[in-house]
Amino acid sequence: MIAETIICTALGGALGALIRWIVTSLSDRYLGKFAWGILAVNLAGCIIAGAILALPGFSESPSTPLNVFLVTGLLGGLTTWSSLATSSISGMEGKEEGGFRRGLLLFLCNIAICPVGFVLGLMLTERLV
Amino acid sequence: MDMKKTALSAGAVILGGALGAVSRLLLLEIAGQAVRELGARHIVLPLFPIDIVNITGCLAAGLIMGLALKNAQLKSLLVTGFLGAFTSFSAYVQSYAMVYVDGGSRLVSILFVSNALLCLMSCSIGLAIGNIIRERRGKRQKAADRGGRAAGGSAAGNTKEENS
Repeated sequence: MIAETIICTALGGALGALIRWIVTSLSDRYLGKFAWGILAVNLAGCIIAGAILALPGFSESPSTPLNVFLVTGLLGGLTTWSSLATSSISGMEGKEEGGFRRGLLLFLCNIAICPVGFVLGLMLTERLV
Repeated sequence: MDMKKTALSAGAVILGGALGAVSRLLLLEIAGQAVRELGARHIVLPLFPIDIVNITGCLAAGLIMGLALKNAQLKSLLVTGFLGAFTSFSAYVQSYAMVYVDGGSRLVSILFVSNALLCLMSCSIGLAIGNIIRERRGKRQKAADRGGRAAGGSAAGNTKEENS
């Protein structure tokens, strides 16, 4: 493993985590109890990941500094499983009114919509490029 | 004051995010090698390396949620920053979707969903463990507050150390 790869991942991860924190904080403050922020970062991350993977430059050399920064770092840091799981579980296991439905819906939306976003990003980019 | 707290939280998220993403990179490297070796010998795990990362990250996140940390900056560092960047939804979707796009079977979709359920389950298990630890600590604290020496002077000493 080259130091360059680690640095690019760290920079991307930091930026991705910061963007995720801003988006989820804004969503928590303005968009009510459903965790729209988590769905938004995961969906956006999956669409962009699909688009980048379809670029001819990526398949030729997936581990250039820019690609590592973008895919492993930025998109990996932007999207999250842990927040999705904790939001779903705290909703489903909590005593709050409508919490179970909200938690389950968040989980189902993420695992149903994000793969579609990824494939759409991939196919649209393939067609455009 | 509020601005300062927000800036501290942002710093914690940035630091945690960098560490989390690098940890994922390293663990993927190790897990990838292990899975390849196991697969080559006899067992083919129904998992991608990223699933191992996500399942452990969800377990840890549940555990921390159960512990109910009071320090907001520590929570930003560990949960939002580190675990948020350690686990990755895009890498998870990418792993399965690429197999699917390359003409994968229906099995891929089943594995995709079952691994999602595993993540959810591990978070729930982590939460249960965290709750137990927190309740025990609370009981010890109460016993110490009552000055019940029968409950154990050493236990009281421990909780004081943890708090300091």
